[in-house]
Amino acid sequence: MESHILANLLVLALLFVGAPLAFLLLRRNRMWSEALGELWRRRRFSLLVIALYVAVALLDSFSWVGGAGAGEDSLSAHEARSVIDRAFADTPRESSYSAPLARGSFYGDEPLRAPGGHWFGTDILGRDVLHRTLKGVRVALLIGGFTSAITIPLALLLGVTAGYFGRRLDDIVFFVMSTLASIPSLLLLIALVIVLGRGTWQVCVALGITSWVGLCRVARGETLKLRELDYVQAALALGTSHLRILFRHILPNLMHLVIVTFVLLFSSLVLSETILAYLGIGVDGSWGQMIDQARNELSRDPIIWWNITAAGAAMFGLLLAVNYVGDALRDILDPRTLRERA
Amino acid sequence: MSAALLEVEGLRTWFPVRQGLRRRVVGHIRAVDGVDLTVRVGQTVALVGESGCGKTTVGRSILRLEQPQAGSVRFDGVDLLAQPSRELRQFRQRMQIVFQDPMASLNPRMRVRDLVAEGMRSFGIGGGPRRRTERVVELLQRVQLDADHLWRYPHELSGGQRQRIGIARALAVEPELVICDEAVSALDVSIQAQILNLLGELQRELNLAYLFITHDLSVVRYLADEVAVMYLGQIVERGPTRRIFEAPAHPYTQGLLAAAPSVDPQRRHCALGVLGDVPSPAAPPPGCRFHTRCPKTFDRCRREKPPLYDCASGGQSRCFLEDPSQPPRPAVSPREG
Repeated sequence: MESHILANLLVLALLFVGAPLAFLLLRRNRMWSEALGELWRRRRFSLLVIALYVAVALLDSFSWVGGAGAGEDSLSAHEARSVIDRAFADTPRESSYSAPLARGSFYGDEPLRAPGGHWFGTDILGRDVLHRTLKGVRVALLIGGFTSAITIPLALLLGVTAGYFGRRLDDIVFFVMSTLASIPSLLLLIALVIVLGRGTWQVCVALGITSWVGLCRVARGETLKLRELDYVQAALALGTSHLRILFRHILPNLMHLVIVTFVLLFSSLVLSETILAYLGIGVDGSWGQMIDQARNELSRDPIIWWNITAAGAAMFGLLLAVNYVGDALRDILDPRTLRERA
Repeated sequence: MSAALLEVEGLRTWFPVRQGLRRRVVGHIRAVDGVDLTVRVGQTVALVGESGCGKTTVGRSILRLEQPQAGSVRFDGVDLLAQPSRELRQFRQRMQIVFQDPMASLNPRMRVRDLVAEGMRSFGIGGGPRRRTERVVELLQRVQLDADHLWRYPHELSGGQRQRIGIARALAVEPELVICDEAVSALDVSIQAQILNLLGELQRELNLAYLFITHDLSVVRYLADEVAVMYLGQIVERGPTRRIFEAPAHPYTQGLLAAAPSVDPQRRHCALGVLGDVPSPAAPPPGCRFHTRCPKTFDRCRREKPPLYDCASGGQSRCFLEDPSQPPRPAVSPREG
């Protein structure tokens, strides 16, 4: 199984090709570089927090076999372990629960293998909670990012073509949208996960299918408006092809909506996964699963609070930062304020 | 007289009104209902009328931005309405449109260079990108802008500058006919004069024909060779500009001219106003469409639809008063406006 090599290549490609390319593209476009500058001025701290999360996720995605800390048991010797895993090499598994920074186990006070080494304690299987929380970052970003990568193109494709070409296509898309919107999304999610099976991409696809309607509706409405604007009419009179009109005139003028929707969608997706985990159909290693486990832990006496606190705090930090940024972006990209600054 | 470039005959553009769950067509907005127009090479024809009379729809129907139900639009002898869209493309190069709102007609996400070069690109004019940029600079100079504006965005330009960009974009594909849809109405009066002068110069240099759609009579008088007055989707009077302004034949034209603001204190008050509001184009009045507002209505107007009669002084008027067989009737004293 060489999947970790593929993941490594993806991380490297993202870091050394994707990021600089995106940066250059944004720099070239004056409106976007101005918007980003403004965002940096307004939400510096939130952006740094998000960058921190992304860094952790990237470190967790870069993995290789062997090296220090390997061979602890026969299994992990052949397993690819990420940078994050390796950072926790000197906090080995305990037998069960231990409180944060405890020297002995929670039940029985037997000496731990790493006394005082588990900052956030250990869970029922003796795994380090900080380690699990940090590994949850990658899962959360994966769910948010991968689902958005399904949702946004799908919603844009359907919404923009429906709005632009209208007639039958519009009727069909609108019918599908209304039908989907009329099904309780949680039920649909559960049904989809049961049909597709459990796993990261399956959950992403299921979330994607249930969440494209909102953006699609917005994109369709905006396209209906843009289509009638004089500059689209002028482009038609100038013999510009429909495809080119869509890409040069419609999509760039929708982008601000897409960005804002993406940011808001992202946080709602991470939250949805928690709900799925609570129902037992979440993604392995997610914060949702940690919170799900806490159902029993919270009813114990003495209470085991560190598991849910760590997962909750990590999720809270990410979503708060993302929402802050999304809120600021919405203000910045609002056409009315754009005109004011222009 | 030069050859006819654009001949519109019996043009009819109705918009269906749909209602109910099944979206059944319950009626039509008769935006354009049988319009005839001729624009000759190098000539300016003005199409005037109140807002909502369908003059913009005429312009858009000629370019086939709307789909007319009936009639013909012959450009250089070829009926555009009968052309499949592939064939239509080559005619789109030969006729262009300049819009009213210079902000709405320019994509805010595009730079001046790309805006002006858009048509060149789609018609393959001007060779490669570098050559096209050179041509854009030439065009900018032609509309009295300079190369500094090349990389600006529309919001960085003034209203007049934006309208010049709109004109440059239309000229970029070397059209023979330019439809100016209220092209100066959104501009300040001083800027209006500049743009009108520019349009006049361009017409002389490039032998352009204009179809000038406007509600502003002062602009018409300045620019047009011929005037066509539109009311509720029909042309009610047309003729040489001078004749229309000095001796308007149709009561509607008389009313329009009387309502136009004047600096002459002698004619500040309108003697013959046009009364009331425009009837709905979904249900135009029977008989003469203007009879509900006409100060000179008589019986026949309510019963029959007047055709366009030739006027003695040139041009045509859609009014029974011009019918040679209509018995003369006692003069009606003009109502107080």
